[in-house]
Amino acid sequence: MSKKPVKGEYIETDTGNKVSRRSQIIGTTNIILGGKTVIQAEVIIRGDLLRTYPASNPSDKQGNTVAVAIGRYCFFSRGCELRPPGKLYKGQFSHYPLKIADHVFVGPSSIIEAALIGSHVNIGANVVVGKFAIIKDYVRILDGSVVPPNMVIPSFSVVAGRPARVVGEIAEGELDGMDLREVYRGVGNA
Amino acid sequence: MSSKRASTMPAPPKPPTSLASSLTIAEHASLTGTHLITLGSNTVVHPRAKFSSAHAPITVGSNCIICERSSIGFQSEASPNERQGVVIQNDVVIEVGAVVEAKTVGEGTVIEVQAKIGKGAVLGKHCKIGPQCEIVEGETVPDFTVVYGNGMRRLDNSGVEDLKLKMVARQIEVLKRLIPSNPAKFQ
Amino acid sequence: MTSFTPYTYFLCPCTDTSTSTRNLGDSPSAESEENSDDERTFDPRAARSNYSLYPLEHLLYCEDCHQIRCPRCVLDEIVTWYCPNCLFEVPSSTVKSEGNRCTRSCFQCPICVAPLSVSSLEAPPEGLGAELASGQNGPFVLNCAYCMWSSKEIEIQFDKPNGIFAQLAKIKNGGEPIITAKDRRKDREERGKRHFSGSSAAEEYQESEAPITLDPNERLDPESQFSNLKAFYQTQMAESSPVSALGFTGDYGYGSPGALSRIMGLYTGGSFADKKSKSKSGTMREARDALEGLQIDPLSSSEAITKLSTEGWESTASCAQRHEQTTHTPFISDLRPIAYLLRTKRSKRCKTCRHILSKPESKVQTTRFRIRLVALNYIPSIIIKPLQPTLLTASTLLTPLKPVQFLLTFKNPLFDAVKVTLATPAKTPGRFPTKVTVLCPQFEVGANTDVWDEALRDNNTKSSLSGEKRRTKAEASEGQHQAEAGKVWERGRNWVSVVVEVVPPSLRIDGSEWLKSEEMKRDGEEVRDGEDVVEIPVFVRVEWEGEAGGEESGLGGGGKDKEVREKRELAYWCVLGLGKVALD
Repeated sequence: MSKKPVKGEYIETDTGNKVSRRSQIIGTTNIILGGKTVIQAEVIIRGDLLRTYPASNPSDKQGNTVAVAIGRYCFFSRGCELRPPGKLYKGQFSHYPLKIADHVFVGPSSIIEAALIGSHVNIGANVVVGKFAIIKDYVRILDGSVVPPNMVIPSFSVVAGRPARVVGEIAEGELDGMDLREVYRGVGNA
Repeated sequence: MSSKRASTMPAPPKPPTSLASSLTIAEHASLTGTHLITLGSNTVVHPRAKFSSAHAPITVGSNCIICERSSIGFQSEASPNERQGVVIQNDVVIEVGAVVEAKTVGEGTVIEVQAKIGKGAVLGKHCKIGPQCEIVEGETVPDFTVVYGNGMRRLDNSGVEDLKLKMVARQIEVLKRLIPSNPAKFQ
Repeated sequence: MTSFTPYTYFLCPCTDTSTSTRNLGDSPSAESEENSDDERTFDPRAARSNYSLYPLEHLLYCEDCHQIRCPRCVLDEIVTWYCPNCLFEVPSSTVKSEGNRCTRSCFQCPICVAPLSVSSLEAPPEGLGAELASGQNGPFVLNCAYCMWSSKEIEIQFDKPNGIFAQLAKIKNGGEPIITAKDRRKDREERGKRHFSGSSAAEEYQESEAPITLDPNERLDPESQFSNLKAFYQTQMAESSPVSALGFTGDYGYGSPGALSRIMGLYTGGSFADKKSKSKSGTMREARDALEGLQIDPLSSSEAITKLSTEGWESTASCAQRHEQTTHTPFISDLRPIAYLLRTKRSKRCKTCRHILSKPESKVQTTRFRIRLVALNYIPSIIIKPLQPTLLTASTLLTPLKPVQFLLTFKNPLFDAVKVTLATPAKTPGRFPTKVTVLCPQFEVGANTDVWDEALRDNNTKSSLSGEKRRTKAEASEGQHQAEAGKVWERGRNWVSVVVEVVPPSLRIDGSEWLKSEEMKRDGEEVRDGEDVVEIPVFVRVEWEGEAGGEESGLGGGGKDKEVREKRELAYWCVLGLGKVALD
């Protein structure tokens, strides 16, 4: 695997984010990274899909310039994508911010168009999270699931299928294992 | 793969294009191949969308949205009755990571995230191909078909096509403001 | 198919009472019993094993019984009911009266179970429930953004965007109103009045409110039919046995003394029944028309056939779709939006001693626990790794009859050092036995230390890691087969790695006759599902000296003086899934 090119795969920021040189981040000024987050190669983050409603004056446009907000210790695997969801509201189309809390893992090639993802969420590989889904804390989404638009996934759920449904509960003993600090430490240019 | 790598290599020959003046096409979209690529008016092409006319031409109508990572165009030799290549009619939305090798995609159809449309398939009007669903090669999908789940199908009788078209139009208005267009790069 | 992640499953001792933990000093007699049990090897492929094997994360631990507890040996108690869609808490009294579904506006699509959202017909269907706030004008519909189903297809529309559950309860598929149970009761009462006191009461009633006249031949929906039948038989029973009349006002009436004595009579067949039969005034009759809940519908089957022949297979509901519905729905057009089933937060108790093992905070939005005794914090975890990482990645298969070595890393969560003893059968049970040798079956694992120690360690992670690496490398270069019998492979603060050597079986069945075991001949020629996985049963015994339990130390604190530490032992079966064997 060509995981480690000569120059060093990751750029490390002041707050400890490790961002792959081969990630495809668009609209960087509209993305907030909480720190200690890993972004692997070929990850797309659409920071350019800003909220345009309510239509603001050019003067106070500074107010809502966050398209994607990400917390600490998140891990975005190779080829996944984060995309703010869009909808029609009062006859106006607008994108809305995508908010991700801490310790969120997103597997390879998964497409995320959620409105909100809580802490300690594990999203598998090749998952599609539909527009405006709300995922609460301690949720595991198994590989290949398609979470339908607008779905709310309560805490401690295991979710799978097309369309995804709750197929199980997170056991009490699994909670500590959803912490991503160890995973973060394991990533580097070594 | 990575655009950086592509840019260091000698640029591949640009395919002949016919781009409408009101087209919005992001700089990081990729148009390759040798046949003609036609993109209609008011259509929006997101960054990292891929058009490949290596084997047959591509025609996209007006008011379409082509999202990132989607791949449009035949990936193998066209048979004699597929010479016209991929034809995407008006008001079509092709979502993230979809692979479209269809002969025809009917008006108002939505191809969802990571759906695959096999080579030479014909999609009717106002269809919706759900996320990760597949249409096999050469298949004909009638108008108003919804493909969802693990290949389940039904006909959509809700009769709200006009509203959906309105929504696509509104979405295009917004995207035009958000995505900087650079058609010059592809001409 | 080819990818395989090694796993460790633990057998909860609740399935085998003989391997329970005990204080060594207390029951010396049990020792002999256990020895006899040790003779029997646990078979991970036995049909029953599936139900008692759990990953360590799924197990709890009872501090009072000093025993592992699995989902089968705990009692669940509901702390909170809530809707998984709107996350509103539902009081248990409401659950009792209204049922276990969300009564707000949360519905699942009857076609695909994705969530339905309310939208105005004025706006495109993709619009989320956001329309709620916008004060848009109706009519509103429920629609599914996944399969594009809309309640318009069953001709149901709503006037308001909220309180959909109540609105839906009043509309039939097709848009006709449902006569509510309340109206039906009114009608029944009215008929009753007419029956008893002539026409005057009915006239009086007519003045105040126009009565709904019900058609005795109407087609009832299942709910109304049930309520009609229930009402009818309740009145019948009340009339036929006046004793029990008191009890039949509201519910089924099992709580009333009359009903109770009747039920008692049924079972004893004695004096209760005799007394009752005397007081019975009339005989009960059966329901006669729709008002009483009778549905004679000879047309329904022919109707269904006609519909089937005209609309075809496409119009029928699938098994999965019908399963989600509460009533009989043979056709797509009969399906109704599914109100979300409520979910619960539950606390768990030990079945043996009733102590609480896990108790979540009652609020829906919080994810904290008041009590959480997980086995992970009490028994050593086992991690499996191939000894030669280059030779074995997740996707490679094991070569038949070629010895492979695996590293088992035991990590001790306890703050006391533990002594671990492993026992495996020389050959695993089943048709294709694997030869197993644990090179070091007995070892001690150091005590766990405080969390902040670990934090300190983090600063030195890199150096310590590289140190470990160097050590292994050095060892690797020193000798080829360095895994010595009786010696621990590697040791850390609270973990120990030992080597286990396995010889995977050959899955060839068509070998020469003398190679075949009896079982092979009997069970036929095919390799069945899962038989290519090397699963090794390991009996683990953990011994340590821990602090005496809270109560004991409290009671005997004065008498025992310093003797507050006591010997503990825990023994259980584990199953190690090592890899898949290649077909040769």
